[in-house]
Amino acid sequence: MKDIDCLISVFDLGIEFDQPGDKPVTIFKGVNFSLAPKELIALMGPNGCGKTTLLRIIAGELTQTSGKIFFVNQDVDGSLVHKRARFIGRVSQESYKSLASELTVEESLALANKRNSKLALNFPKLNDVLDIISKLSEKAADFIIQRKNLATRILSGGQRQLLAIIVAVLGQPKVLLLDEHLASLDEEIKIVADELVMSVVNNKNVSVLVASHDFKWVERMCTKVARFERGIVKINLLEKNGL
Amino acid sequence: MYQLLSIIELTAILSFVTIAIIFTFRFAGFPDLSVDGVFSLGAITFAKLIYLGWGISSALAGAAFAGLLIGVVTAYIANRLRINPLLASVVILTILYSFNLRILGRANLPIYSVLESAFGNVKYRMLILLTVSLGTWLVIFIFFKTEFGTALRTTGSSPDFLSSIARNPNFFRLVLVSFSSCLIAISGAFLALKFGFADVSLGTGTIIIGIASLIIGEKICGRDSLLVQLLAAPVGILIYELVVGVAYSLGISSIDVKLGTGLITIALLALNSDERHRLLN
Repeated sequence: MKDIDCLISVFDLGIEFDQPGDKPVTIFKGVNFSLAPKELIALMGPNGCGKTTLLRIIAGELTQTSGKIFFVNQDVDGSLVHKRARFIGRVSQESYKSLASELTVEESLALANKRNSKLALNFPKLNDVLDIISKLSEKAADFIIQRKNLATRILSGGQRQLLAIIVAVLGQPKVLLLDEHLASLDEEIKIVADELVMSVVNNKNVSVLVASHDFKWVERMCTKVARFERGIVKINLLEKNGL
Repeated sequence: MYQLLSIIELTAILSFVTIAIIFTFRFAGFPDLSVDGVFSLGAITFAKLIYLGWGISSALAGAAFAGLLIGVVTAYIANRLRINPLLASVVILTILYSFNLRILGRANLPIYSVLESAFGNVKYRMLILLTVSLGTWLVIFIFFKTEFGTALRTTGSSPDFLSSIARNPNFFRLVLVSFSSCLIAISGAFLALKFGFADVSLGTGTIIIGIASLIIGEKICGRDSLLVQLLAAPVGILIYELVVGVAYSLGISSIDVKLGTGLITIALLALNSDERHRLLN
């Protein structure tokens, strides 16, 4: 039964990849979990265990071989990436690569803020967006003010990654899918990124599903941990203190 | 003097094509090769509607609508059937050949006598053409600065960004390809207006002229902002037409002009491997 209080519910989820001339490879199967509002669940496990694959399935980039996914109480089978993006803000380790290089920081953020509304025939303006960002993180707002007219391609990799995180939290997403989003960031930018994520969790009731190898960070930030182990197909959700 | 006026007039007309190529090749990442057929379609639709007694404005609107429709079909086929844009547009180009002949019903359709009464004075015709061209350029520039236009510009280069902000890149591609075909058809209609006739081969080589002038324009203006990107279109086509004008004055036959254009385009592409990559990827 799906839990209508949960933002995302996953039932008996599994995925296999075909191999030419061989049996399909099962990445995982029988995965069940729910993500409640304001909950932060960390996905942990060795490389290749399926953390990113699970996030990509939820985002709609990959289709599961078995099982169901519900956003609130809606079955999202067949729903395309851009439709799920109304609900989901997503950041991967290399999200900066998917920013539009020809746009300025201002244009990128003004568009991102329209995730759940129509694009108008107005000129993109930063003012409204800046208010929202400064309520989430003053440091993030300062970062934007200093760079608003720069093309995103001019920013460094770390700066673009922070911009990708800001893009992900704008436009009222209900869930954030974070895939090792801090991996390439310096300590200063990591603090700003954490501030943004915790701010949308606490103030906007956003939930987070995050793949990470950083146990200390997970222990500090997350409410639950899902353990992935190579070859093991069942995910057990544990209270972080139980690890 | 007359030749210079003709060059300015052709620049105003063919700027539409170069801008249309910016929409597809640059903004949409959709190398649409149906340009020649759509250009002829615009000219033929316009001439046929004039021949049937329509007014000039409504015949222009009819040509624009025909182009828009073809753009929708081209993008829809590519999106829906997941056909490579190059192949989808070449298929449409082939279909348009028959389609254009069917509309025309003959090899060519002269409309000079009809137009002469409306545009007896070349300068008057040029004034209208330049005003329409400049106005269209301004509308396009302002539109692509808006939120919707800004998002459209990222379609080809950053479809993942569009998806991440809950926009459908395929729909945006369709919009750009349709706008592009609409502009190309308008350009064809204006050329029929200038020449006073339309035939099925009027559009032959248009895409090469568009690409060559785009490369020339971008070499001069750059691509760093929307303003210079869109300025590259008239600048490139003006230089192209000046070169062709000089070639004519040196006695080169009109039969050889398209051969020359093709060779110049090959030379431009050979000199710049990045350009090859950008145009076709």
